[in-house]
Amino acid sequence: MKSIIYDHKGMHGVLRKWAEEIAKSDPNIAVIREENQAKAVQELLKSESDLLLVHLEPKFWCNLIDNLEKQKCAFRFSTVGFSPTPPTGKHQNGFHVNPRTENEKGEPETPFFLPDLFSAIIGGDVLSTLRSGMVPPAIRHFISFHQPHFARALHILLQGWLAQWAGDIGHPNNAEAKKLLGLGNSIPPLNHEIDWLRMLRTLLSSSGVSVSDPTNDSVLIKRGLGSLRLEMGLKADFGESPIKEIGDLLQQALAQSNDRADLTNKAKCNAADAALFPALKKARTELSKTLRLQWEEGS
Amino acid sequence: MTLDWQRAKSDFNHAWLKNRLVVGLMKCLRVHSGQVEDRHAGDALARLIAEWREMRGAACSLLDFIEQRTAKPIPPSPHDVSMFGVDTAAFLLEVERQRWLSHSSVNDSASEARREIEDLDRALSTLSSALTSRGNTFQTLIEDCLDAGRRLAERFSRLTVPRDFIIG
Repeated sequence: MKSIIYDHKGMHGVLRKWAEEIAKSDPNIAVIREENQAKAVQELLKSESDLLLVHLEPKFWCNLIDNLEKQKCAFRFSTVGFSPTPPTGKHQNGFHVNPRTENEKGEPETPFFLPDLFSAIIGGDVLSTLRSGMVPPAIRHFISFHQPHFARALHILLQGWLAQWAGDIGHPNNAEAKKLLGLGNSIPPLNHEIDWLRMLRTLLSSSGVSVSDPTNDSVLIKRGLGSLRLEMGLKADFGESPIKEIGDLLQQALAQSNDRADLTNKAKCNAADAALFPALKKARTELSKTLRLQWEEGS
Repeated sequence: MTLDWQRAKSDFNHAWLKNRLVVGLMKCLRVHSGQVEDRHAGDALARLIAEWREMRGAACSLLDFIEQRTAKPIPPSPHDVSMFGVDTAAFLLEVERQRWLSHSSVNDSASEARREIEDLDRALSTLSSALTSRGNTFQTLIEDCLDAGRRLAERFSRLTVPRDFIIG
């Protein structure tokens, strides 16, 4: 596959420097060395390459993707990264790359992800999957289409659950919950009982994917996982982390309804918490990893 | 509010400080050293220095907001209250805020950022007075502004605020 690369920062840009290096050994890679962005866009549009990797200012990017032929794909980079953005352009073939390319000193971001992303894009059916509106697993750390609002809300909820355990000296998971949260003695006091299963069901009900029966737990779980899948750009297969870990947690938690029917029965609730702890820990860890990889708007 | 703050930070730090001021100063350095020709580079720089007054206000507002967030718990949104109840929503947001406070060293960073705003202010003011004369120290003055601008951009890149809603 032929590729063409342009960086409006010229040789000061990380994308351009990397492009110059790989173009030396790969005849399928062309580099545009034009300083004027408008002229560079014209060159990009005339090019025979199917794959365009560009660092352009907004109006030039819009001009490029509004005129880009359907069978081509353009990937937009930024020194500071992009927030999750749905495909853009007349043919929905313009994609924003989430991680930043440079650190604050103008050096390549560590780890330097461009080679991995590039080899993933040119291999297999990555481009056709992207065109279909899904993010292939191989590049899900680099490109996402949706803000992870549901994932974040779930993370906040699980964090709160851990904080309750961490603030309760007599709780069986007290020490490990404290360690996981890393809050030392700053755990906020909790002066009321929280029905965590009700909170989970509330959150799952609020997720954006509509389902037939919102009162059924298994349907609710499906709904929550559907939202996560959408935010993470994953295919319908729930077998992947973090979906699997979160699915396990939700199933285990909601199956404890009887054990938690009486919130004043501390012994029973503590036993249920202890049984749930490994799953909650795994799910939260997976969520944390995923959310750390997502670019936060506002660099 | 969190999302507004993030957008405002991006407008200031990415769109203006990194992509306009730092880039404009670098261009002036190249023009001054004769690497490139651009008759309008000086005027463009003068405009950027004039814009700094407004941008400085934007940067200070961003820091004011951080200080508000460090000072007291975040009130939950009406939607979160309707979903989770006021006490639970407040507790969840306070756990999130405490994690932000303990993991981001935000108080020190905000103070440093204020100092660096003053540094950039002084450097740009000195450069502004030298724009017409362009004496022997002109290059050094641009480099001082570049250093100060880059330090401030690096600082702002690391600044965050805690999420102030659960669902919305």
